[in-house]
Amino acid sequence: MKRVDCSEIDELLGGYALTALDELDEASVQMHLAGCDRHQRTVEELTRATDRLLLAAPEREPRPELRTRILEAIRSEAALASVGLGFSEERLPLGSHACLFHSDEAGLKGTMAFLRAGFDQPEEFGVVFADQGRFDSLGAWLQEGYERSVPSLIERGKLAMIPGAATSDDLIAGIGARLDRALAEGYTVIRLLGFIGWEQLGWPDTASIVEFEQRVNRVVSAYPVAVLCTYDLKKLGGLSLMEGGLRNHPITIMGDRIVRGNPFYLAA
Amino acid sequence: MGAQALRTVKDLEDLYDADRGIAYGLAFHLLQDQSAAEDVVQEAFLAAWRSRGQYDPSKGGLRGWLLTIVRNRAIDRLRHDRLRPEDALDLKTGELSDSSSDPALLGPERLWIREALGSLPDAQRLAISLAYFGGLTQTQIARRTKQPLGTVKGQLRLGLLKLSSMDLARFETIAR
Repeated sequence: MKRVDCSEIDELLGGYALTALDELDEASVQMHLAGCDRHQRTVEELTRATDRLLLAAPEREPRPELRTRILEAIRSEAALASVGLGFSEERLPLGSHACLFHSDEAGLKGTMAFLRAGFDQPEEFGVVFADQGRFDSLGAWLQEGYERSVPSLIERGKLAMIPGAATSDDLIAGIGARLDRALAEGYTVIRLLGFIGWEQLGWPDTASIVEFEQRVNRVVSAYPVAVLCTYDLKKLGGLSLMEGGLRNHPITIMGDRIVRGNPFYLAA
Repeated sequence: MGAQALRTVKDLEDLYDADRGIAYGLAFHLLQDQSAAEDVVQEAFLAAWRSRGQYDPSKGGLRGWLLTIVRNRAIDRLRHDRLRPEDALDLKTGELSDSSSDPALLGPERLWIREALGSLPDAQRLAISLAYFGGLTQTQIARRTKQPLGTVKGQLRLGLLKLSSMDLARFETIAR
């Protein structure tokens, strides 16, 4: 490869920023830039100009078939995107909202595997949505059987715990803001585990449960997220279980049985 | 302005609807072939979708990011697949004309860039357009315009420096 010194490089930088150099010249410039701050700054400045220049590109209408072709390709890729449940071999597609009914602590603890399955995936972000009072025990549950430190995952922004709120508006706003932040940080897959605290202190009343879960369904369609809500069969009243759980989750899970076309689901 | 993030298929659909004309226009201008340009645009949208986690809004808009991918893919095809013989490129490629839209619909941001490019001396504008929108290397530009290579290098460098020194603040106000 030809070595080019600092005085010769100036005249090549325009062509470099426009990707108009022959391969040998381009390689020489790259080698030079690795050790020259002054020229790196010039290239950054020229690249800002070429980035803006792209917008001067001529406009030309493509055939309508191209839209169909591209969207079909993207949709079939997106349909394949899913996350493993962790506690079973089943998977949840991104954009899905599932409800898990449980009747004891073991059933609830089992859902920690859903979050843990994402900890070692660099593109994944996990979020737990629960009462503040539960955070300590959730932290301990998450740590069981996981060798790295759970608090450090929270510190690194890989896992977040969002507290419940007294109104549906605040609940939805809190979830949306945290998901936006995770996406801005570059995560492309989100697992959300929700501990539903209806009928408990500091939570909206049961009457707003339908509205809340329907809004979750809208959030779910706008983010690359798989949502798993846990419903306690012993603690929650029949109305919450029926309206919140059965009627508003397209997928339901009981034990190791997963029902994908929940017949009670009322599409919004 | 098109979508500002790529999270869902709907965002991608919005991006396509907003920017298909400029993306396809760029690919077609570089490749001068309908089927190759369509392939490049499809590859670019798929690549954007697959690497959506790497898109950093603080470094510029989604449209610019997409167009960079389109151009890189088209240049790869041009240079490595030798898709288009060098001589096939008309020097008129240096002129950027739209086949399908009213210039008034381009939007202030794009009109400003067109004007900025238009304000350069003819030789600099032609050299830059042939390089950037024609996909020629500086050696090829020298051959096609029958000028010494040193002259072309100077035209590219000076033209680009002028563009980068133009009223950036004004551009950013318009672009916002």
